[in-house]
Amino acid sequence: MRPVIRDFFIEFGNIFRKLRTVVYPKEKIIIPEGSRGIPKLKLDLDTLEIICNGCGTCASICPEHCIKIKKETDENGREYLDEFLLDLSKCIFCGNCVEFCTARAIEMTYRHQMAESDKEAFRLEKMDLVKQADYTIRDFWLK
Amino acid sequence: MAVILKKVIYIILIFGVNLYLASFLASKLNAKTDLARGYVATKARGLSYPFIRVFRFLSKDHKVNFWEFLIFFFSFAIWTVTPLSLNLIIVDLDYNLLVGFLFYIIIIFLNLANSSRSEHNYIYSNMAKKTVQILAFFVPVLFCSVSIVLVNNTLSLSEIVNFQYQYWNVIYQPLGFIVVFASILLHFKLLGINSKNPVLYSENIDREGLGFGRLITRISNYAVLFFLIVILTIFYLGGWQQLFFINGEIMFALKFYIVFVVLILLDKATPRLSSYDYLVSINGRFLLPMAAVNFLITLIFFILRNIYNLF
Repeated sequence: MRPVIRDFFIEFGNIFRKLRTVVYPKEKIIIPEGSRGIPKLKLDLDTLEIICNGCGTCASICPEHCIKIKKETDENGREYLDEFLLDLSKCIFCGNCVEFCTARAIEMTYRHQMAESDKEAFRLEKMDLVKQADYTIRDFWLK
Repeated sequence: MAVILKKVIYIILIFGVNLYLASFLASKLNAKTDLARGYVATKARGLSYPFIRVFRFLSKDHKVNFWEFLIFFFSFAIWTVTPLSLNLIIVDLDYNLLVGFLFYIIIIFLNLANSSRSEHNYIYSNMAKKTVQILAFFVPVLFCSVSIVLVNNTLSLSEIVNFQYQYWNVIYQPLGFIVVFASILLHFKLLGINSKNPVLYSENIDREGLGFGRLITRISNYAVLFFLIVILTIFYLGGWQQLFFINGEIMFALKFYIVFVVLILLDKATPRLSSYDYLVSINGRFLLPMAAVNFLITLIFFILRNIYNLF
């Protein structure tokens, strides 16, 4: 009998409490700090070039093997990133690529809404990942 | 004639408005107590939701069979003998308590007959179990009503209310009040007013009866519940006796809705129905013995008062 009385008063109090769910497409929620969304490639703010030199640490550390990297060497003997392919349909957003990157060239955005009808849309190339910078701030509801 | 017509229109209006308010309250409080607010809860379950639901039912199937017609008739006819205030009663009999109970039993049996035309056998068997359960929960209510009749020496509901001008019957019959309230709570669960009921899930609206007939059975469920709450209010809570300067009719409506909201909250607070055995054990171990004890105590007092003139 005691749990019934306790639950009765909890239910009565719930009438005056704030609702916990939101109406998904209509209402906005604040995404918590440190949430992991689609990775992005960072740019050097002085030269506006990609920081990543294509060393391949992220590709080797990735548990799902969803990163493929191809690097080239220019005439000065400096290595640069030629291709960076990320298969989002495999990615588990573990954040290992960000953590192990020696050049700190990768960062997680807050973008996590990724519904697509075409599977090919999940294969992101180098420039796609650079463009993810639009979603770094937590106001993705406004996009 | 004009007076009777006026009363009929009043009663139909009161029943319709209360149907609207009760279904609105039930759906809104359900969402509120779960702290949930889905799209349905905020948008579709607005003030117009009961009307929208009527049109949705009508759009599926507009056919009504004979049993549903009878259910519709009796869920309105039950209010001819059940007084909603001192004057608002069409057929004021000296024994309208018995006639009201008769109408109640007829509605329950008509629901059984309606489900027996089902092509799915399991719906019929489930409905038969449900009917037996509902009637089993009605036995303690009958015991308690006999006790009330012994206390008040009348079978007329209006006179039972008039008897309570000084003290409500709940002071004389606290056990009976608890038993009738528990019985109504279990009726509330069995009729599935509040939400999807796991025991009654087999007679789901997805399977059949999506149309107007389903709406009628829903109305009859509400009518049964309203009848029981009105009976509870008249038996134990003073009916339309006015409190200080508050009008009697307003007091009656207030009591009705307080009982209804408490029923919704208690239905949420008690565990879901998982099997009929659970109900049988509640009825056999708690409700029936309590009702019998209440009846015996009342009978002893009745004999001492009326035969030996002790009080």
